[in-house]
Amino acid sequence: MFLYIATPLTLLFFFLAKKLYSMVPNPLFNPVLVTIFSLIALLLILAIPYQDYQQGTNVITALLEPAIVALAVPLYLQLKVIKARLKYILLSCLVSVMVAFFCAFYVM
Amino acid sequence: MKEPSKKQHLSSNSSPNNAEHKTAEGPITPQQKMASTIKNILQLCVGLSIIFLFLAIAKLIISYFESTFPASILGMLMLFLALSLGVIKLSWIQFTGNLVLKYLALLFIPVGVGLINYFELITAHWLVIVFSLFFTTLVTLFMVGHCYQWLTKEKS
Repeated sequence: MFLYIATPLTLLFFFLAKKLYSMVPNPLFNPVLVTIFSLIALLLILAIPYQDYQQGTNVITALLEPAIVALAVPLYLQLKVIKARLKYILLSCLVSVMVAFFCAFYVM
Repeated sequence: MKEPSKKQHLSSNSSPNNAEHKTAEGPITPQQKMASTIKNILQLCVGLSIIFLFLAIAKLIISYFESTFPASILGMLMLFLALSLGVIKLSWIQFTGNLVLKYLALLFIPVGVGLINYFELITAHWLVIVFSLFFTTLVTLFMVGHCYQWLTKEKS
């Protein structure tokens, strides 16, 4: 049963969360965060195994791959901006990644 | 009639050109509305076909070389290359691209709910996870910003 309502339920929760965020624009009320936590709570309360939910939302997960392909559009649109500063962007990203990596490594 | 009007609503939100057009022209006739709906649906179909074509080609390449490189990333790079070379026109795919970007976050929700499987792991190491996530994110943001500012200042 839950198999068939998983996707509509996810959509419903997401749009409700979006509405909530538009009313309370606080980063803590990030629509994705709110939706994930409310769905987790729902699954736990109703004792629905994650496998059921996963099977029910196969449609959404399957769209993830084409969505990543579609990210080429913003990449192309930003090309000029990126190209002009490519050297600086790469260099600062490299340095920051190293620093973050060492931070995380030594904190552990 | 219900379905197209729903799509019209979606599309008018995501394409700024369309909205501008509407405000400039004042109230639109049902014919115009219908025409723009059909145009948007066609644009969506064209964009989706292009995206799925690239994804399919990428998957074929990946399976041919038996590589573990994600097919979606390869597809994105190929589409980017095609856009840069002018094989694919931006106007063919821009509408779909904008629509997908708008609802991209929605696609990550089922994956996020998968956290439920790692409850024990998270409760066992929550302090480390929270600390490393927050701290390293802050450090990264700080470093990227300052490095970039310093580098560009140095030049000018």
